Amino acid sequence: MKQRLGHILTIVFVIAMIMGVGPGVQLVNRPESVMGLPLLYVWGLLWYAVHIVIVTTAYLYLWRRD
Amino acid sequence: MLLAENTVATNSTTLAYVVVAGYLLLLLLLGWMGYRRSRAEEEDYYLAGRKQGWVVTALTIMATFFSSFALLGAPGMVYREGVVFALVSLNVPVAGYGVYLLGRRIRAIGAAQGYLTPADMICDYYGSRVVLRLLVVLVGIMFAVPYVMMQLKAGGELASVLFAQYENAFSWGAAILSIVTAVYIMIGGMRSVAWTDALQCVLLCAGMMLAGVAMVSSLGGWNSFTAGLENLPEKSLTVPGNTGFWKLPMLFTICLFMPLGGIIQPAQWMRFYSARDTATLRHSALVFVIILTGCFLVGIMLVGLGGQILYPLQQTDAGGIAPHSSVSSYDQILVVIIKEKLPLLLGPTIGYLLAAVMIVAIMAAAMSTADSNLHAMGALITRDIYDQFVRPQANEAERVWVGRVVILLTTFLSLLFVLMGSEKDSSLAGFMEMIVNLALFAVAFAVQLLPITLDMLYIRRGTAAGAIAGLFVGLVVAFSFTTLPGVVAAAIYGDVSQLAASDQPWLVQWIRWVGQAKTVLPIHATAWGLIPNAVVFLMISAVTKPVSDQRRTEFADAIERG
Repeated sequence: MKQRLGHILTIVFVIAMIMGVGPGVQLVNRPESVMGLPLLYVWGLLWYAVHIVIVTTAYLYLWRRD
Repeated sequence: MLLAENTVATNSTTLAYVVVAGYLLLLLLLGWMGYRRSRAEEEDYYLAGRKQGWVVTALTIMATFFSSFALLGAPGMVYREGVVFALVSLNVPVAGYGVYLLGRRIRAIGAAQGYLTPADMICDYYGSRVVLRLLVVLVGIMFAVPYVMMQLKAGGELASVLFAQYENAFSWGAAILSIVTAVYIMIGGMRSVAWTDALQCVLLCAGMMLAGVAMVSSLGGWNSFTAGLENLPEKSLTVPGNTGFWKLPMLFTICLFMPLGGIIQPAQWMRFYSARDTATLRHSALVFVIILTGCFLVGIMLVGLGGQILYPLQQTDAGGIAPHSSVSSYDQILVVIIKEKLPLLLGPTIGYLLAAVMIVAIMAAAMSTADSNLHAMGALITRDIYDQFVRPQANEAERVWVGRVVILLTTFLSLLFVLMGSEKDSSLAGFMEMIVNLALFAVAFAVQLLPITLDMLYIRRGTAAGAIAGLFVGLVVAFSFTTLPGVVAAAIYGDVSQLAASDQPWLVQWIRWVGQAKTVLPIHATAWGLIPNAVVFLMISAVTKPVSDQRRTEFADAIERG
């Protein structure tokens, strides 16, 4: 169970890096805005939220048992 | 009426000076308190007796990670490049995971074996007493000196805006910041550094968020701010930014490797040793990812974006960009806004008070990193050079004093480089133009410890010969791909662009080749060094004598016990 959760979080982390600061940025690389904020900036906020989920899950369910 | 306004302004300026002076005195008081609680033992001076609780540990790890990079460098880079640099905030979670995944194991082994410095662990594991130790110390120096330099530069940038009427404001700002920092580390060691870091981290986080709020307010509120953003040039809103530097491979490699270099550099490594237990690092990692990334992304990054609205970039004749005429250098954007906008926006009393708090936050950011790196330098040179090769018979009190002398000398050396680089015609001027560039230069070396670190903590298949060869190759290649060789070549040979390629000196030809390689694959020097480092480490380890089973078992058991 713990190992499986570890693998899932690792995969989500890799996706967050590839999408947040890697090739995934190409999907939003245009000078548009969302609610007044640059699209690229909102993209960063989205992947920040994903990192919060990763670290909170790891903290509560993975690292506590170490 | 005019007289009354002048009186209010004068009183407010005095209030700002009092806040800043009070902050500096508080730091010295904490240094003295740390001294009163300390014992003349290395473990106490360098690791606070390995009993640091999670609040202080979390705050000192964060404060060491976030330096003047956070409050001056990052908004300066966003001001120059646009929103692309805001994405660099996503490097912070990588460092946060490293705090737990690497830090927990480093702490466990360090506590079991009684290590003080990174080289203690690395050399003991691989059984290389001399060569590997010297290489690890070299990594420490190559990281610590530029990192201290960028903090002192921040002091200079701050002073040169706030005291623009004085001719040598930059030099005085850098000098005062360096003196106060060196004094309180020399007095109290790790305990003082950690306590002051804790205070400075709170100020730093508050300053980052406050700066974002102040920026939005300066532009007349959220709606005006977002309306201004929509009118920014297209390059400021897209990758690769205004200068074209932040291409995706560059962005990705920096976000992945810069935080890892920052988290295994000697000062952080020693913070892991000083943590009381595993839970301390678990809490620290959580706080690190959530709070620091947030301060960066939703706080300080807004300053750089707003700066482009308030002080639009200028086009140069050569087709490049330059800061607005009111902003001498990109790194000064926050300080210029603090000085020119806050008192107008909030009135002289609250405006100057808030400005003073922001100034204190900038100083806190710079000093909290400078102190940690100077303190680590003291440990590295004393423990890994003086104790090993110069005077092995020295007692602990003597070694602590040698560490203090090293701190003083490193401070002086860093200050000297900063003052040289601040001269307009200096060959170092371009290299030191931006705080972020200095940070990227420093981590290019620290991250070369990554293959060795992962091997010791997780894999345990590498060998001493592999570690030495990989680290050496990584350092040489990483150095080649930084901007410093170009500076050295320019200082030695001057302008050689008129010479035929075959007539150019070998160093210039090498730099030209490196430039072509960077064009083909625009990744950062950290990655350029790390790739051959890892390959050589693996290849040499496959054919040389492995580390003893006993040593590998000791490390595995220490990790298992936590």
